[in-house]
Amino acid sequence: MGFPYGTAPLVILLIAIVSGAAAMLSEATSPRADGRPDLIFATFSKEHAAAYQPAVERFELEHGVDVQLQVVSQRALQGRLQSSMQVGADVPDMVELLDGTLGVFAKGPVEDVGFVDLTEHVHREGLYDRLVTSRFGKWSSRGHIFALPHDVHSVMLAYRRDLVEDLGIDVSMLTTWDEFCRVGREVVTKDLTGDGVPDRYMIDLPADGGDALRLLMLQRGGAMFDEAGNVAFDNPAAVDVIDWYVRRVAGEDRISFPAGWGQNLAKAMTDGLVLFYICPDWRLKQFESDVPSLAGKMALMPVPAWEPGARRTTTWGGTGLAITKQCGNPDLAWKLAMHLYYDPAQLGERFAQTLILPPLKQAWTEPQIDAPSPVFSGMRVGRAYADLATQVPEEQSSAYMTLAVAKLSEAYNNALAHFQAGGEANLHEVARNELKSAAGRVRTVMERNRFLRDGAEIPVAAAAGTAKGVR
Amino acid sequence: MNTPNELQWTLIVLAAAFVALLLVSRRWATNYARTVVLIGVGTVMLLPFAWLVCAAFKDAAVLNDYTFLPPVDKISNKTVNLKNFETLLGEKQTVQGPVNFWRYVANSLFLASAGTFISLVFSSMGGYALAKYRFAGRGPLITFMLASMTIPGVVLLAPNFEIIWRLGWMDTYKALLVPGCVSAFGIFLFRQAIIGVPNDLIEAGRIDGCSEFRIYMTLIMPLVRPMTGAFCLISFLGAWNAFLGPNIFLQSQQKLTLPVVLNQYIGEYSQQYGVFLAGTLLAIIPPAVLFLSLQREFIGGLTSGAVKQ
Repeated sequence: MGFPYGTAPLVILLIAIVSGAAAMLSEATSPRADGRPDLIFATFSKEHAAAYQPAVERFELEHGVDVQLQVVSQRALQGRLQSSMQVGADVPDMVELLDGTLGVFAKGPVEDVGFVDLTEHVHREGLYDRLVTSRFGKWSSRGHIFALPHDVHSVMLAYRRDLVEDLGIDVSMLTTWDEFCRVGREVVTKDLTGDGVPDRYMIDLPADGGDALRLLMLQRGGAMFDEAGNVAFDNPAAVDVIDWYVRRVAGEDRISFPAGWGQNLAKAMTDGLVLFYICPDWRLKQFESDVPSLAGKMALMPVPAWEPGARRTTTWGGTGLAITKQCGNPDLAWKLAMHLYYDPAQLGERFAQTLILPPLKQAWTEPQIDAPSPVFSGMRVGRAYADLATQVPEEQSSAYMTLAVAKLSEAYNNALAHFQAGGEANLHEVARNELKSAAGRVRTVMERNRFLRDGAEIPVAAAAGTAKGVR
Repeated sequence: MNTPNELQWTLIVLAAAFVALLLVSRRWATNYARTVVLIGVGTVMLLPFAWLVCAAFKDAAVLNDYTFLPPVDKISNKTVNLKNFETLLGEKQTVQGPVNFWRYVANSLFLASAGTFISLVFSSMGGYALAKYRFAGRGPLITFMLASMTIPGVVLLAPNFEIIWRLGWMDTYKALLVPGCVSAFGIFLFRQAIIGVPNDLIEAGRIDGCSEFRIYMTLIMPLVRPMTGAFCLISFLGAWNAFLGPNIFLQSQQKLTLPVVLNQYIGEYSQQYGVFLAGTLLAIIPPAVLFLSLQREFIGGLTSGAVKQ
């Protein structure tokens, strides 16, 4: 006689009993932590956590405290933090925030931001001058610094050195985007098989604009938001960049291919489909691990400038360390933050592990910064990024960054559609109008937020002066 | 004119074979065409799975070099090996102590199976009540229940979070099992199945002295066995693949489920695709085994009511 309700529920019930017993047994036999640690520090990056672990252990010994380092995926970390702060639930004492996420927590009144205002601490420790100052913009709202910058993330171009040399290209001559595009058109972007489709492209650029459009705008001086937090992406620089970008991804002057991410990107790199890749320092490790076969065949060069002698880099991404207001011992948290982020003794070794340049200028004299990279043809990659670090443009955080980026993308795609349908006639005009309209929509939404309207954003530099005065 | 590539040559040969068969027998040609199309469609559907299997066994150094496996002359321990599985199955140190991969499998199995069984019990009871009992507000209740299915779960995340936190259930399995006890979809499914059970049968049970619960247990549930099987499959797969809930409500590493843990191999700065894919391959096995061993029952449920008898 069988189970009267069918085999399926019987099997599922048995699985529940057996797996439940196994999970309970495993929990009962595993060692338990004794109470809440003195500090809980959550990060979204296991690479960061691995790099911090030795420093955290030293800190625990020095201070006789217990620090718990948690790795939580970015999506979960932000979701939990938002929900927990809204309902007043328990949150970690310290958290690492991903670029662009501070704005989510700083939408309301500045005094209600769930993180400790670090402005005074930053000035007391002299960090404002010891770090790359432009990095504070990402972690500030209305003149208040809510997180400490972990990185600089200056950007270079990584390229297939072997193929570029075979083509006789001298990268030292590619100093401007005009020259870069000329070489891209005349030398690189070619149909090698005669099937009417190019088999080699100059640069990897996402066809939908993606982050590349924004970081090229930044390089040209066109930020999404100005220092006072106002929408600024309808500026003339942004119009010029859209006009330029559209012609690089479509039409006769196209020199780019969207190589994407992961296996697609690795395939494009190994096949030599694309020669140049936008490469912030955090991407170095990705290239190392995803395309090990290209070790020794890659190299780096500064990003071409928009005008001769102008800025040769931009920035992409970032991490900030914030202390939550619920932290029971903010002084200890601050000490740990200083130990992890700005102790030069830690930073050289950490660079060797992550290849992410720290924003503390003093750390750039560590020997690891000058170590040659076997992957990038023996180049001293740390020094290359450090040399560009002080040129990194400032990017402001905003609660409306996500919306603004979406609207920028809309404007760009409309301009691209116009170009594809009717050619270059009026492209500049269309781009200007589209940006104006997109920025207008963001302004309308922002106008509804009385917290931002009433307490207008104060530039970080201005707040710096105030804070120094207080001190 | 360009020389045909391999795919074009294959199509030419297949078409030529079709024409040759057509000249011999129309029936043979039709069968041939049908077989070729089915094999072609089947291949296209299985290709991603084949890619997954190959990627799981490829060494990280060559993961991106070949779409599937390396050519035969390049296959060696250095290119195809079990390193991804060794990394995946190895014990890992976490802030809660060492955790083994099999712990995550047990966690996922427990949450999926316990959640399914609990939901089965309560949803079928709800479905039975709404199908066979007449009470005030029954119509609006059904409408409300169906309307609630249109609200995306993400929208309810913040209020759910607050309730779970106030109950002190954060980082416990109760946070996932209790809210999932009853599903509007499950109630609706069982209500529709139970409506078909003759009322005379229930009346006969009552006359014979059955309690209402016994009628539900011994008369109703055995008669909706096919629907029970289908519900178990749908519910189990949903719970097995659940990501958002476990990601938000579970915090200790040792309590996490497979989808959440596998997601941790895709970091912001570097990705262990090989390990991630090896884990994905292993994660497919339990639901696949369950489905294959119980497929007659599941399919019986999915097709029940399709033909009026």
